[in-house]
Order: sequence, then C-alpha cells, then structure tokens
Amino acid sequence: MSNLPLDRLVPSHIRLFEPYYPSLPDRELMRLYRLDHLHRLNNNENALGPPPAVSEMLEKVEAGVFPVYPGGDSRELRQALADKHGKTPEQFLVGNGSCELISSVVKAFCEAGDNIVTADQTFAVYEWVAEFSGLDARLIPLKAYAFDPEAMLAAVDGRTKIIFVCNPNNPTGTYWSRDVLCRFLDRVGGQQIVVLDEAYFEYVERDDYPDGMRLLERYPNLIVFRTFSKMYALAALRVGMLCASEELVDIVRRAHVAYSVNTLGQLAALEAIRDDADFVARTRAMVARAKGMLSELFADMGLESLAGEGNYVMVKTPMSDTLLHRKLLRQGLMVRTMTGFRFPNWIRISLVQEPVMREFCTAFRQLLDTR
Amino acid sequence: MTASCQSVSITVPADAVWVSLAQMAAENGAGVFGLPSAKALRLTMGVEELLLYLAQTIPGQDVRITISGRSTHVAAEFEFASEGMDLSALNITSGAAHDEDDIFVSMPLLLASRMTDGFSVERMGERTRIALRVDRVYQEVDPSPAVRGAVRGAVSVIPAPEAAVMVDACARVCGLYPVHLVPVWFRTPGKVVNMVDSGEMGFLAAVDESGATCGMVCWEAPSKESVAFYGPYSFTESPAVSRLLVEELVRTVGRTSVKVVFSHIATEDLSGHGFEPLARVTYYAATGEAPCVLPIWYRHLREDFGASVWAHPDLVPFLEERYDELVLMRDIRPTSGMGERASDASVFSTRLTRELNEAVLRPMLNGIDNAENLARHLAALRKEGFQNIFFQVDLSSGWQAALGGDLLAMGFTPAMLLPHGGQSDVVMFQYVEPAA
Repeated sequence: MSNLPLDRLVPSHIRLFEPYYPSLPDRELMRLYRLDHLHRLNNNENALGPPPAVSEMLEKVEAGVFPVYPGGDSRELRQALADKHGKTPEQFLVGNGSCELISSVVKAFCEAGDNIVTADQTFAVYEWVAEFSGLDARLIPLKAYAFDPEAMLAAVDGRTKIIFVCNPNNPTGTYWSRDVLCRFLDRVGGQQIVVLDEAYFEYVERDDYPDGMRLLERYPNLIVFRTFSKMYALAALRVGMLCASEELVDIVRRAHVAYSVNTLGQLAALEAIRDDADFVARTRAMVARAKGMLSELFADMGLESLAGEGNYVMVKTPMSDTLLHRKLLRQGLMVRTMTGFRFPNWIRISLVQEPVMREFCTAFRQLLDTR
Repeated sequence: MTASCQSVSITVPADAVWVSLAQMAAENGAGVFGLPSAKALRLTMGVEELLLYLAQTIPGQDVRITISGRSTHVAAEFEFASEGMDLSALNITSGAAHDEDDIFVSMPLLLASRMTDGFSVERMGERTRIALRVDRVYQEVDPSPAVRGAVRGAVSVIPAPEAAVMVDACARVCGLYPVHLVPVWFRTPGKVVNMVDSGEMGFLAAVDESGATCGMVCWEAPSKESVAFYGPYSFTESPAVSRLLVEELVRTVGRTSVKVVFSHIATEDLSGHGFEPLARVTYYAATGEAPCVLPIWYRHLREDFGASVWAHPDLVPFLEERYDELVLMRDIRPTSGMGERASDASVFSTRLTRELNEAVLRPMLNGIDNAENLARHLAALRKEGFQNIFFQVDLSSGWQAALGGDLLAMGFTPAMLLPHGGQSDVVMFQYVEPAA
C-alpha cells in the first residue's frame, strides 16, 4: 500500500496485463521435486546442443571481449546472412531473440487505435506485445488446427497494421503451403505488414513448404522472422533475425534498440551458419526418430495427437494436462501444458534423443495406465 | 476480472469537527451511487461512527475517506497511518470481552461495523485501511417450476448473455436444485446481473437451437490466482449440456492469468473433465436433516513449479500428505508464535450464511489474543446455532499459518487445502463438534 498515484501513472492496458512468470531455474526445480535429473521437453530446444564449430569457438573466447560493447548493429552477422541468403546486409535486422523483433515491428508500425491479426492458438508473444502496447489483438480460431486465411482476412480492417503468421505453427505443427501463402499475400494486396514467423523453418522438409525469403521481392509488405534458438541451439544467447526489403528494415530499425545482441551471440550465430548442412541433417534425423516413437505410442494408446512440422508433437490426454505435467516432472520429465494455449488437456513434447524419448514413453504409458 | 467503480474522496483530520462533512459525503455519495435512503443512512452513520472512533484514537491525523459505488454495494474506505491501534471492536463478538471503559471507547467502531453489511481491514506497515460495505437492495425471484426440458437441436454456449437470460437461469436453478447446491444470491438475480456486468463474475449460458436456455455455470475470483465456480446447472436431461459448459469454462478461464479453478458448489462428478477431487466437506442442516456432503473439485490451468508455504508444525503432516496426493511441490516452513510483537487485539472477519447454517471466519489482524478471540468467536457462533463453522488460513502469511495450532487445539480440523486459493495456498479448517 504505497502512496504512489499508480492509477494515474500506469496506463490501463498495463494495469490489466498479467506478467508472464517463467519456470524456476533447473537447480531449484530439481531441489523442489527431489530430482537427480531433469529433461526439458517443454521449450522445443535442440537437445543435441549447438553445432560443433560453435562449441569450439565458444571454448576459445577470451575474457578480453567482455569489457567491450558488442557490435551495435551485428554488422558481420548481417553480412554473413546476406551472403547465405543472397540478400543485402541492409535487408537484415538482428535482435535479442525473435521476441525483441516482434516488439520492434509492433512499435514501428502501430499506434493507439490500431490492431494486429493472428491466430488464437499460436505463439503467444504476438498477442502479448500487442496487448501491453495498448493495441487490439484480433485472435482468429484455427481451422483444422491450421491458420485460417479466410477468417484472418475477414478480421482485417482499416486499422489493421500487422498480420502475424506462424509457419509452421507452434504448437500444432501445421503450415501453409506456398500456394496458400501466396494466395493470402495476394489478397492482402500490400495493405498490411505480414510477418511470417519461420522459427522452425530448418525443421521442415516438405516440398510445398514455402521459403519466405524467396517471396520478399514479390511481396514488399512481407517480413520474415528466423531464429537461432531452435535448430541452432543458441537459445541461451538470444539471437533472432528478420529479413525484409531495405525500405521496411529501415523503418523497423528506428524502433529497435541498438547493441541488444551480445558479442557471444553474434559470434556463435556467425559460426552456426557457416557450415550447417551436416548438423541440420543430424538434428532432423533425431527429430524424425523421436516423432515416429511418440506417434506410435499415442496411436497404440488410442490418443489423438498432432505430429506436424517442427521439433515437437502434441497429444490430448485423458487426464488434466497440468496434473500429468506434475506427475511427469516428478519423474524428471518436463513437458508443456496446453490449457493456456487454449488446448485443454493437451500437452506438447519436444522431440529429443532416443533414450530420453524412451524414458518419456515409459513414464507416460505407466502414468496413464495406473491413473 | 475488473470491476467498474466510481468514487469520491476527501481527506480530513481525525477530529469530531469534520464528522458532518464526512456524513454529507457519505450520504450524497450513497444516493448518487444508487442506495435507497434507508441504506444510505446506514452508510452515513457507519462513516460517522468510524470517524468519531478515529478522532479518539488517532486525533488530528489525516484520514482519507473514499466513497465508491460498486456493482452490488457502496463502500466507504478509510485509509490512515496507525500503529498498534485497537480495532477489536470490528470482531463480530465484540462487547463480550471488554470492560465498561473499553466498550465506551470502541462503541463507535462497534456501531460502524454493525450498521453496515460487511467490513474489511487491511494493515500494511503503519498504514491501515478499513472498508465498510452497504449492499444494494435486490428483488427476490420466484423459483421456476422444477421441470427439466428436452434439448432441441445443437447446444451452444454464450458468455455473459443478456440480463433476461441470466434472471431466467437463476430462477430455474432455484426451482430445480436443492438449497445446498444454490448460492443464496441466485434468489436475487439482479445482483448476479450486476456482478456479471461489472466483471466481478463470469457467466456462461447454454442455449439450444430454439433459443431455450439449457443450463448455466458462473464463477467469481476469490483470489488473484483462482476462480471458484457454481454449477454446472443443467435444465435438461442431456449430459452434453454440462460437458459443454465445463469445457467452455476451462477454455475461458484458461485464457486468463488465473492458475487454478475450483468448485465452490459442484453439481456433479467432474473427474471426466480433467478435474481432481480436492475434498468432501460435510454440511450439517439446522433442521435436523441428515448432513450432506459437498465434493470440492479443482483443476490447475497452468504448470505449477512449486512454492514455499508457512505452516504450524502440527499441521505439517496433513500438508505433506495432501501435497503428495496432489503432486504439488512445496517447501513447508514451520512457524508458530515465538512471542514476537503483535497488536493487543486481533480481528477476524465473519461471513454468515444462515440458509446454509454456515459461518466462515478469516483472520484480518494478528493479535496477542488470537486464541482467546478464536474461542470467543467459536462460543458465540455455536450459541447462535451455527453448525458449519469454517476458518480460512492463507499459508502465504506466517502469522495466519501459526494459528493452525490454536485451531487444532480448539477442535477444528483441516477440511481442505485449496492450492492458490488466496495469496498462496489456503487451508480451510472446519469445526467438528466433540462426540457426545
């Protein structure tokens, strides 16, 4: 009960916004749950760890780099990305994870009274950033677990500035094909910014899956997001990037804080993309094996599941997802509950190495058989 | 949930000279906020008595008085700096325990608490906030005939339907369900409508293709982290109605920051909807009928990564067992009174529901007389014939948790553990009459 006039100082959209509380650090969780091991299957991290070249580089980092500010605009990394993707460095913006870039894009294009359009069962940060920026987030229900292009277009009005499309969608793993995406972009007709979030791009091997970067010339209102947190296993270093026309990037840059990507992150990201083919292939093989194991288990148990693209699957369980989460955690397996994602009693499991997946399968079956 | 509220505030010295100004503010404010004159007079007198009391106990100090119109009541809040002042007259049992001089001093406070429909006391450091509440007046509804109809076509669920639908649904619940399964305020549906309109309550109605209301469920937020629901109430024989209502309830509250949802009054087995059984609470009827057992169900809406709670050492075995059954990880930190400084007089709030023969006590201010105050409350409530006496303890508070020893010693038993039921987990104690 302080005497601060918070009613006057705090905007209503901030007063009403509920902060996000992340999970406890591993060590604290293991102490509370009396665990001797903990497998994180909740954040879709790449359990193989970063590419070997990154690990080797990080081991050689000298303390001398720490007193010096990082490159303020990640110039070398942007040049490497440009070389890799056949773009100019000015077409890239690097951020402290994709979350910072989402925030920068919203700040760059939206003002009071504007709205954004996205799905109601997707990566929640689009909605959160809009809401704590005082904007209306129009959340469109999925159709057959996929983004519904018609319903999204119907939700667009004169104050819609940005449409967020998560492709493939987290958590359902569904994706828009090249044809669906192009038809959608044609219908938008350049009137809104379309953010195509390709956080799981490197996991998808489908022929009809579109590469957003190749559509930038055709659709100048398109912004493509990628991240180093998922496939490249650099989640702890927080490096995300966007690619768009130089004109759009110049606009977003104005709302983006320089120096937000640390030196280690920039160095590791540079190393990660230098020669990634073998690493990506090994990760895809691990994910495919794990996906096969879990799909077989869920089919055998008669449970509805979604094993789409990306390094995760979802399953609908015959008990409370949150209770199952606690029971699995007591055995050292942390999954993601989906009630908060508007999928009551579903859980999402990250796909990792075979021994851990075997451990998960055994625990899952046992818990459901003995409930 | 957010409640709409309009208010007017004045800051005056705690001095009898200013009483008339405070009265005018209360009377005019109550009128503007829609209280009928008799009720406005009660609030006015409550404000007068409370300011008179403060004039005696903290003379000259600034008191901020806020009169606010809320959905179902008008409140007068007093906020002031005070340390160690005696607020014991706010106890429902006040009077019996004081000598004549004490009664004289605290009489205004006693009058203030008795003239209004409820009060709350909050003390943070050296500042205290007392809120007096006077409820609006609502018309009682006649229960609808106790007949269940057939569903025509597909059933859909509508959030916060128009007032007529809510009123009709409440009347049908009153006609179809036994009294122990119906919240008292369903008999005054206007209050339900106001609570829903203001955001204090959530409401879902099930409607079939003909437009007929097939059922309802509603909920409120007893704490920032939990919602408690009533229902699902079905007006048909179709089990699909309840299923749809519960699924939509979970989907709706699952979108919010709420961590748990539990049943305040559950009408059926909810294990098939992902709910876990939390407790079975026995209710004794005043009329000598057989006691009924009310199952309490609960469901987490998000991950629970553990927490720390306080507990009296005698309560630790109960908590360890319950937490283990619920697969909840908690650091249980034992605490009991160690002779630390506290107010001379404790304050407990009491919520009475005559129809259910129920009294719910909550500790509001810690005092060195906690045990004696508890004994006074218990004796008074038993004398009044209340057979369902509960005491709510929030385990986020060390001094509240320490009350567990006194409660157990006086015949209370822990009836249920509500995860995130308050600022942290809550234990609801129930008084059990000793065997004859």
